This record gives sequence, structure tokens and C-alpha cells, in this order.
Amino acid sequence: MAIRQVIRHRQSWKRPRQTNLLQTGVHRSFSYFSKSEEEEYLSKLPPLLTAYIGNVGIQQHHSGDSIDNDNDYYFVNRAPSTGRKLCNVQIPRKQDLDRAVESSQSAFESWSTKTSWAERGEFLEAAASMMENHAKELEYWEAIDSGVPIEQVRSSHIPCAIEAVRYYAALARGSFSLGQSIMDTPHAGGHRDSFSFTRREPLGVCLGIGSWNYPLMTMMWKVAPALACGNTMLYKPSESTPMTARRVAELFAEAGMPPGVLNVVPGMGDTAVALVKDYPQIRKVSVTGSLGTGMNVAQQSAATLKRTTLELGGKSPLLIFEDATLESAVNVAIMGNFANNGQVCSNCTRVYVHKNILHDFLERLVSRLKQSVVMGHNMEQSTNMGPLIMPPLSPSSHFDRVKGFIDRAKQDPRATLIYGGNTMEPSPSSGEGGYFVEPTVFQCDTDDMELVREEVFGPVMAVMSFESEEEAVSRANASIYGLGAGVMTNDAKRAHRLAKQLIAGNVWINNWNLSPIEMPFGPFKMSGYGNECGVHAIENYSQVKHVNFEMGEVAASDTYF
Amino acid sequence: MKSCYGHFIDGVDDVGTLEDGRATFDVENPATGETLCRVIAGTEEDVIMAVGAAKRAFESGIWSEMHPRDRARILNKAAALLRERTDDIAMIESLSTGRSLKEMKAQLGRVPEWLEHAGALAVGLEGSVTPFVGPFLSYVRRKPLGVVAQITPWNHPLLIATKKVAPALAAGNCVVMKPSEIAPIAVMELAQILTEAGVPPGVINVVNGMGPATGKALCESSEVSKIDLTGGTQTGRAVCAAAGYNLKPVTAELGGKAPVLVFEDADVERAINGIAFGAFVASGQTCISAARLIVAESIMDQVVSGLVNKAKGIVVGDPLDPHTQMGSIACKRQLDHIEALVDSAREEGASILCGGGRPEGLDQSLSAGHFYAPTILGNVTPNMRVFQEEIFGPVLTVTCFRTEEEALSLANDCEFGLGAAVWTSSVARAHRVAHKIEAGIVWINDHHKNDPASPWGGFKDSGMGKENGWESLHAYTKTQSIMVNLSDTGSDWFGGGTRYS
Repeated sequence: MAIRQVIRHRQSWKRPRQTNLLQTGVHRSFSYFSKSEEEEYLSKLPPLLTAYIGNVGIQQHHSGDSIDNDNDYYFVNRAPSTGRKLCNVQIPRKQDLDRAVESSQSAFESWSTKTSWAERGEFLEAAASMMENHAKELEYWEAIDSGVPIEQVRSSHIPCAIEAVRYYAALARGSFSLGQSIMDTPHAGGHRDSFSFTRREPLGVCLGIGSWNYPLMTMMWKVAPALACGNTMLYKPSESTPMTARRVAELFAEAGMPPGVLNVVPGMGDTAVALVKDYPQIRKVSVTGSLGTGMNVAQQSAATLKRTTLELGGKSPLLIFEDATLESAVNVAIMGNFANNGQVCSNCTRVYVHKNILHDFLERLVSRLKQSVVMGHNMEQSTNMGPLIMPPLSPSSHFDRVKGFIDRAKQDPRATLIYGGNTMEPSPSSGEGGYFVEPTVFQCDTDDMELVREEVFGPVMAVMSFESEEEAVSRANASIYGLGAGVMTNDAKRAHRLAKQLIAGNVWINNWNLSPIEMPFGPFKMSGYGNECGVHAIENYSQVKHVNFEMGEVAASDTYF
Repeated sequence: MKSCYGHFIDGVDDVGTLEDGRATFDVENPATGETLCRVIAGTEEDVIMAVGAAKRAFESGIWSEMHPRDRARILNKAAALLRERTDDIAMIESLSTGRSLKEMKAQLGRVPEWLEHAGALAVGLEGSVTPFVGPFLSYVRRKPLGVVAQITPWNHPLLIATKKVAPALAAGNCVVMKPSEIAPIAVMELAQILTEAGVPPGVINVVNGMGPATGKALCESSEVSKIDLTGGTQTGRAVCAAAGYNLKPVTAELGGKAPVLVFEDADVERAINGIAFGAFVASGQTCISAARLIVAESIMDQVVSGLVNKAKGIVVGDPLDPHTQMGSIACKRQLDHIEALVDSAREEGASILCGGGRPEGLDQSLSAGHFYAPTILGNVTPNMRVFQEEIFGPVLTVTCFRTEEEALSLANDCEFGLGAAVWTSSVARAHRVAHKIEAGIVWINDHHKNDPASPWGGFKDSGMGKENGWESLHAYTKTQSIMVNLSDTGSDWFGGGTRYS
């Protein structure tokens, strides 16, 4: 306990470095983007971000419509670092959704039958190159819209999104075997005059429902395999981050993607629900979102038996053993909790540390955080901790939720605040600014508290101690979630043993959150079902047809009659 | 085209051209007999230098350890460059092989796809995890082989070089290529393009020269980890013997004598067009050329007269003339071989239904060119040399059958087993017959179609291994099995342990 006290007194709260940045707001030039680049991007920003259907923004579809100011038809999209308005975003009406689904359906008929796998691969390759040529612009929109530090957007969000498109382009161009064929199939009568092969066929119109933490990457994890298989995709980005989805749809069109193959419809959750519920033509739904969203989609999809892929929440455990390299363990815990502003579904928010090294671990953790955390405007290149997401209808809602967990944990005698815990809200007078939460570490005496059980989806790490491997594994597995799990150890036997025993779709040994596009990213338990990435996504966006071919005659003696 | 070419070694072209007194050989335009350029004849020292450069490049890891995604991007870029230069290279190919410019442009249009496809395979290349019994993790990695030798022919110089180099590079190997001395220039262009696209120096090398000297030195090099050859069956045997001594794997795409089975229910007009294309494109100088027409007796006259008309109508002449449909034979030696085999058929009792010699009415400027008219030989029986030996020229033999079994037995009565075609409108027969033909490549109601995704290679004396598709990429890798003991306790054999393997 003495150690905890010492650490507590040593920490000092530094106000996030955002004050002076706020005064200049969105339109300030930051070092990474030149003034002319920023001006160019902003000049392309439409006053109203609309659906993009059939390779055109939908206003152009019905020129008679004026952009009305009716609040039922749009919401305001804000930059999380400043709260400043980026643009209005259309809430699609029923007729817009009808038009979008119709467009996707009619595009499906030609895209699925008139293009070969290799041709679809070429379209995707061209789209990837187009994204690459506009990478910096995409970085700008992704960062300003999501609040994720620009350096993380630059090095992870955008390249991972492009890599996904290239990977599925390659699979479509030939590295994925399209089917099986077998030798002569025996008849009931014993003849062997028929043979069989399979055809891999697309499902139809697929609906992608995106998340706001990695807006472009989660989009491309869905769009690229869906299109490769010959499906068309109707994509609904998160209402908090609609910018890059719309821009990328334009870039796909520019790269030659036929109209309707990728349609983007912005909107709130009820738009997604309406699409799932009211359109039997949609044959597949892939969601990245919360547990609640996933359960709702699964239930609504059941009515028309849409196939679903659900990537939902997590409360992933990281087990740090005595034999681990401590410095590495500290770094992994920090990266696995605080990257992307702490808003990652697979983050290791439960850190179990062997009791003999707990003291050292916490001390190094605090000292590393003190040295390295730079909070502030996310467009500043030195920032590594930006604001929380700012949902459009209730800008403080996510912050309130994260802060609620922190406040209740502070009140809970079973938890000790080790680091952070401070927050900052927009200025009450001007209303400007974002919702910031300092990287926060609690040491918890029990697993039986909400901070250890429930997903916070913010920069809050819970640290617990354990004594034996069996105990650690059993506590790690005692969760409704099963997305990620990890082990820090130098013992090869233990590493392999636990890789098998941990119940999660992703297990990291001595690292965290590495997810190459070639490998499946998928959940166990109530983190969802269905894999994204790898050849596994191809399985989830296609159906297989068995074709049996008779080469002889069917004689009466071959039948039972 | 330059007047003198050297080797392409370690990123440097024209190696050897600045040295005095180097032996050279001439590249000839077979349509006119004129010399196009001179090329340095590779010595054993040249081969050692090229293999050494490839080995250093391989060991440096600059290519072998590059992420497959990055290798794929370079191959895609090379494909784009190649596409831009298709017309220029088609001209080089046409000048040095005698094939019509129109034909070369059409063929080269698809060649860049081989680079793109191999890049795609590299991106999708995976090892596996095996169901090893007991407390073990057993996984399999795929690694590149090292320095690989590729021997390419003169009939499709760029296509076949690309087909071989693409999977080799995609898998991370370094290549030393020996193109045919008859048409090496397009291959040198390919090496240049790959280098411009970002393939590092030493990863792709080309050594020119004659098979018995340069090719032999390359195939006998103990530093070479694999040999990939397209050529005649005799060359194949020699290369395999050298590889056997060095215990190195071989992919060999050798001769063929493709049977073309036409059943009475075939769409005759489509069949005639398809067979004429299969037999006479590239002046019949392809390993899967339609060589033996095996036709149902009831429709034989109809099919043969249609083919004869078609063959007589083929415009033979100057390869660069846009009206020319068929150019010359690639070299004098090949022309002599064709003539000798057709003569043997005459002696053995076959009838010449059309062609059978130099075409009439050729322009004076082509008088020194090596031309041979589209030729159809009737009354050919399985014991004749023309039914058994590869002609590699515009010569189609005709034999008839009465039953499906007889057709199959004629088709399979041959040492070769590379290509075959079946013409029928019966879906059941099409597949049934295709399954029973002993050939690695079978077309139903078509001929010659090829795709980077579809395995390509022969049975019997037509060779071993496959080009194209996963099989080609896998054949440029070696698998490494890694087994991890996960048990809590070790085992003590000499203390009473029982598990041996």
C-alpha cells in the first residue's frame, strides 16, 4: 500500500495542451499539413454531406430538392478536438434508402455476372492506388473527424485501409482458389460416371455498418472482401465519423468502380436499423460496433435470415508473468490501452500482473506515462493522446460514460487510482474544445467490479495481481467477451500453453493489437461472430454451390424403381 | 535495336560488349535472312559471374526478405511498364521470330498479367499448421529456393520468360536466365523493365549464348537451386541429367503432339476455325500446337475440306505487313526439320492435302526467308513418324476414328502428353473424353487458351511440373517444418521413454 501512496503523490496533473490550439480551431494550419493542402481539402467539403449513390452525391439525383434546414434531415458533424462544426450530414429519408438499395441491387446484377474475379481484383487494385494518391487528404479527414492523433492516423489508419484493398485485390486476382473439384463421384448403383465441382458465388447486396474508432479501416475490411466476391456494398459509416467513407466512395468512382457497387449512406443508428429491418434484398450485414448494436442487428437480421458478421466489444486480458521482460510489458500495456485515444475494441483493459512484479510494473508504468503522454489537439504531430469521440446528437455522451466509470471507481474502496483520472470538457463560456480524458490507471483488488467487467471504450486500464498461472487463466477467461488476450512471458512452453487456453479470437504473445490483413480478426463469445480479414472474410461474403455433372446415362438399374 | 548486345548481370546491361575479342553470335531476321544484331556468346566465366551476382543478391536479403506485398508492388509496376512498351517489344519479337506483328501484339497484350498474377500469389502465400499427434505445435513455412536457372525457348520469347520469371521473383528467388540464342532481345528488355520497376541489381540476370556451352554451364552450376526449362524433349533429358547430378529440382515444359478429337456431334464450323487457329498460329511452332486431327469418319470429309480451304486462304508473307496472317519459320534448322518430317510422311504413304513446301507468290524481298506453307497431311496412321514425332511447324495430320474408344486410343498412342482438344456438343462426352486423355492441358471446344491462374504442363515425355497458378509458385519455394514440443515434461528415452517419432 505504501508504494501506491508514493506513486499517487508523485503524480501531477498537467492540463492538456489544447488551450491555445482551440483559439485557432479547425482552420489552423498544423505542421503536418501545409496551408494550401488544408485549404484544398476544406474547399471540397460540401455544406451538406449527403449519401453517395450510383457514383453521385444524391442531390444531383433530384435537382428539384433544395437543401432545407429542417433538423429532421441533417445533423451536425463536429471535430472532436475543438467541437467546431465540420459540416452538416444528411439523415436519409425513406426514399433515399429505397434508392440506395435499388442502386446496389441493380449494380449487383451486372457486377456479379459480368466481371470475373480477376477483373474485380483489377478494380480494387486501381481503387487502392487512387486511395494511395489521396492518402494525405484521407489522413486529414480521418483525423479531424475521429480525433485520433494524426501520427497514428498516418501510420496506421490509412495504410491499413489501403493494405486491405490491395490484399483482397490480390486474392481476387488469383491467390484464392475459387472452388474444389473431385474425381468421379460414385452413384448409388456403383457407377462412377459423374464428377463434381464447386462455384463460389456472391451473396447479393451487403450492408456494412461502420465504427468510429478506425472509420476507414473497418470500412475497407468490409468493402474490399465484399466487392472481391462480386457483392455490392451499401455502407453506413458511424454518425460520428462520416467523412472518409463518403470521400473514399468518390475515389472508388474516380478509379473506375461501376456505379452502385459501393454506395454510402450516412445516418444515425436508426438508419442502419431501417436498412436491416425493411430491406429483404440486403443479404448480409457486417457490423463493427457495440454489444447492444450487434444484438439488435442479429435479431433484426433473423427476420429475413440475413447473414451477419458481428465485431463487437471486448474486455481483453493481458497476463504479465514474472519472467516477462518488464520494460516490454509496460510498453505493451500502454500501447494496448492508450493508443487511438483508448478507443479500441480489442484493448487490453484488464492487465493481470504477477504479484511479485506488481510494484515494479506500476512504478515503471507511471514513470513512462509521465514522460511520454502528450495530450492535446489531435492534428498536432506531437500529440499522442487526443480527445474522446464527440457523437453528433449528444456530444458529451461518450465522455459522460467514460467519466462515469472513472468517477465511480474513484469512489470504490476496492480500486486505487494509480495514474491520471483527470478530464477536461469544452469551455462553458464559448462551448469550444473537446472532451479529454487523461490516460488513467486503476489498481483493482477484485475482478468483481464494473471497471473490470464492463467495456469502458476509453483510456482506462485496470491492473490486478495474480499468484498462479491457473488462477490468471481462469480470471482472464471469466468474461462475457472474447476478442483479444495476451501473455507477456519468456517461457516458450507457457506461451504456447496459454495461446491454447485463453478463450479469445486473437492471442498476442509479447505484443498487442498486431493484426495483419492476412490473418483473421474475429471474436469469441459475446464479442460477436464471423471473421474479418484473411481468406476467412471471403468465406463470409460468398456462398458455395456444388455442381454435379453426369457424364453417362442414368439407367433404371441406377435407381430404386 | 542496338547492333550488339551483351549479358544483363547485377543490374548492368551489355556486359561483355566493351571487351575486345569476345565471341559473338548473330540474331537473324528469319523472314529476310538479314542479321538484326550481334550478341556476346556466354562463357563459363560469364555464367559464374551471373550466378555469383544472383547469389550475393539472394543472401543479402534485399529481395528474398522483402515483404511479399512490396515484391508484388514492384511486379505490378513492371507489368504497367511492360504494357506501355508492348508495341516496341512486339516489333522486336516479330523481327527475331518471323511471327506476324499482329499475332505478337495480340499475344503480348496479356503477358503483363503474369507479373500481376504472380504478385497476387505472393501476397496470398501461406504456410500451414499440421495435425501433428501429441502435445506439439507443428507449422510449415515456405521459403524461396535461392538462385534459380531458367532456360527459355524462341517460339514465345517474352511470354515464356515472363511466365517463369514472375513466380520465381514473386517467391523471393534470384534468377539467372538463358534465353534462346535465336530470339534473346525481348528477354533482355524484360530484365531492363523489371530493373526499372525496382527489382534490385543481381535479382534478375540474363546470360546469352548457346545451349551446349552457356546453357550447360548454367545447368551444371552447383550454386543453382532449381532449373526451369521450356524446350525440346532431348534438351529436357540433358538438363534433367545435370540437375539430377546436383540433386536439384526441375520444372520442364517439353515437346508435344496435341491430338484434336472431333466428334460427329461437333459444331463443324466452329471446330474448323478453332483447329486452323490451333494448328497454324505461330506457324505451328508451339508445344501445344494442334498436331493430330483425329476426326469421326462420318464427318471427316466435311471437316478436312473445310480445313484445307481455310489453310489455303491463310495469307503468308512479310511479318510486318498488317495483312499478313502467318510469317516465317523461326530459323533454317527448324525449316529443315519440318521439311524432313513431311518428306518422311510422303514416303510412308500420307497424302499432301495442301501445302507441303514453300508457299507460292512470296515477295522477292523474302527470298532468303525460311517460309513453309500451312500443310495438311491425309491418310496418316499411328505408325508414321509424323504421327509420333513433334514437327513444330504448320503441319496437321489427319486420322479418322469410328468409336469414342478408338478416338481415345489414337489420342493416347503417343509419347507426348501436353495439350489436347475435344470438339463435341455433348456435355457428357466432352468431360468424359477429357478425363481420359493423357494430357496435362485439355481444351473443350477451343485451343491454345492460357491464363496465369491455370496450371500448364505435360504428362509423359512432355515434361514435369507446372507453370502458372499456385503450382508454379509453390515449386519456387521450399517448405520448412517446425515442430515445437509443448509438453510439460520432456521425455527420457534412455530412462524408459516410449515415443520415438
